[in-house]
Amino acid sequence: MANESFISIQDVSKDFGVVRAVDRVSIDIAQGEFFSLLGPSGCGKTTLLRMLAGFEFPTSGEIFIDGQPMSSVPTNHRPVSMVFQNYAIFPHLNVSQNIGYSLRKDRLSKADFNAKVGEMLDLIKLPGYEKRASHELSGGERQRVALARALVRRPKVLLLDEPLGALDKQLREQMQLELRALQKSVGITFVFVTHDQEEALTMSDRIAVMSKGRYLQIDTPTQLYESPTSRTVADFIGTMNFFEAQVKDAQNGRAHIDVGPLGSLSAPLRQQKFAAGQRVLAAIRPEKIALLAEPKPGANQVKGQVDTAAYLGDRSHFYVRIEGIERPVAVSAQNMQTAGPGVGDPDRQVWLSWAEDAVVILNADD
Amino acid sequence: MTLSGKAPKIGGLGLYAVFYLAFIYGPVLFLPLFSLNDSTFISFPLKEFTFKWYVEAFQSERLMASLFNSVKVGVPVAIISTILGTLAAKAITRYRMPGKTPMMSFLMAPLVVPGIIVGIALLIIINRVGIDLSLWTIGIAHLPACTAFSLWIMISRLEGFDRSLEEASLNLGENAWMTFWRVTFPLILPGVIASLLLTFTISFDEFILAFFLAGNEPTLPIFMWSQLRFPAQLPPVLALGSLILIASFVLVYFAEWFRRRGTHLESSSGV
Repeated sequence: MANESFISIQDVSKDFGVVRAVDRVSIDIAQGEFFSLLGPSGCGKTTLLRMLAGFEFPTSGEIFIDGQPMSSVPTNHRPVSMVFQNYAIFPHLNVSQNIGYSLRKDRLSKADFNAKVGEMLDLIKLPGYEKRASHELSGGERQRVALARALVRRPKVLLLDEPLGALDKQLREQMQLELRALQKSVGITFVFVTHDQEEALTMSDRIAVMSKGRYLQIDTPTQLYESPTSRTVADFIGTMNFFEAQVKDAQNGRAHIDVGPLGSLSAPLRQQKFAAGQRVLAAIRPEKIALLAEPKPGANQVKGQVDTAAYLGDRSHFYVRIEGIERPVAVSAQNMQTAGPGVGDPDRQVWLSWAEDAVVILNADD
Repeated sequence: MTLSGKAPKIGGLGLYAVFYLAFIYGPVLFLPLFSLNDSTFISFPLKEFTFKWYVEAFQSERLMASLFNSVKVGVPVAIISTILGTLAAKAITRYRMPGKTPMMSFLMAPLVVPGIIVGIALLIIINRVGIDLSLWTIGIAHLPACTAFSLWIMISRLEGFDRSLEEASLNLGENAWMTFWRVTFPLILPGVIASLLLTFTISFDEFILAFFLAGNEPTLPIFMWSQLRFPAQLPPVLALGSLILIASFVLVYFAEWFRRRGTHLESSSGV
């Protein structure tokens, strides 16, 4: 294999009848990486995961795991374990039998078997659960047992299909951190499927944002958020304000653009090439816009009127109307001072201000 | 029963239900009644209470032989039809394949094709081929309908079955065969037992096909029917009939109990 990637998905497509679920995807994943496939339902992320697991086989292309081509390897011979969305705990077996399910062929003595299962139960912080029946487990416990069952045979890759989707919010946030810590301690490559962008941002080393069977961008969480390369990615991850703009000139890593009512801006280029006169989109995150009661001398700013305001405790969300711009601009502000009557009042005149580097330039047509 | 614990009022529907049950089970209950009556004639008024017909039934060699004939047919038919039904149900519920719907219809058709038509058709073919009529031919005739019944039970069992359990087993390193034995089979076992009990019951008391295809070894229903002509032979037949009635109730009750127990197990597997 050409490079050092541990999992190499090379030009893989998958058709179900006339529907193309995965369309010529190539992704390389490094050993020990926490890699997420993020996208709305139907974007092909689960199909891609099931091809890694060996439940589906590519229509074309090839998947390599640890240097071995996988196209003729059935799931039971792959060094890959999966945690299912519904956990798939065997209902007729107890916790110990579930976790030790894959150890049958090792023909361990009873003591060794129990030791291995006990070790896994310690890892998932459920010691003493050996004899519990599967229906006695809570949602979070089922999830942990499913993890232990998948990890006990020391797979090289662990695949997780929205494993936190069935948990309530609090447990989910706790499991996100635990899962991340577990991955660091066992050092196994994780491939994680989710439609929850927050979850992906919290846990992943890198994320592939998928849409319609293809990926739009593969990047670290910070890069995806700060430097999306397309409108779809910018829209899917977090909230983004878009403004139509035109390039005046672009060189030496900066571009000058004309953003209509917002005036003329300078913004950093991110390995992008734009020609003078090209129509583009200028994008700014809501939290990177400051809401001012008075104009600030020398800053990038524009006058507007508060349309709606929502107080969220730690933050407030504002929608601000700007003359000449169709959609109100979203602004998110930390409530650093005790909120009094003030900038949030509807129809109040405010100034929006932002740092130049907060502006992301995107192609207008994608 | 109402929540307040008052005695339920028997309205029009309740009355209908009582008549309905009486209509169905009333005649059947005459069987045990007359089987305990010390008279050769099936008529009121009843005479002395007796167990002698039961004793006579067990002493009648031909009656016992026909009972064992029915068991000899019923047990293999139950086992074979359940195996076939289970495999077909697994294929139908698990694999994408062309012609699945018509195939299902064909497999289920024996449930609705009149037995007399199947019986005549089979008799003609078996005569043409030149096979002697025997318990074998009865068993073969019972297989299609019993397989259809088994298929029906097993499909409902497998459809409620979480597919990812089998995938999890495969993913944990087991092959398809071991996955079947370690995961699928234990989970469909209640269905398998229900299928065995029901198909045995169907074969055991089937009359028309057995009537057409029996050789010189009659099954129990055929023998009982033949005894109706001899009044003296009737009471022992009633005695045995009563025993079979009880056995059938017990079998069907257990079949249903197993089927429900399985459903319960299935529902507890959800998150």
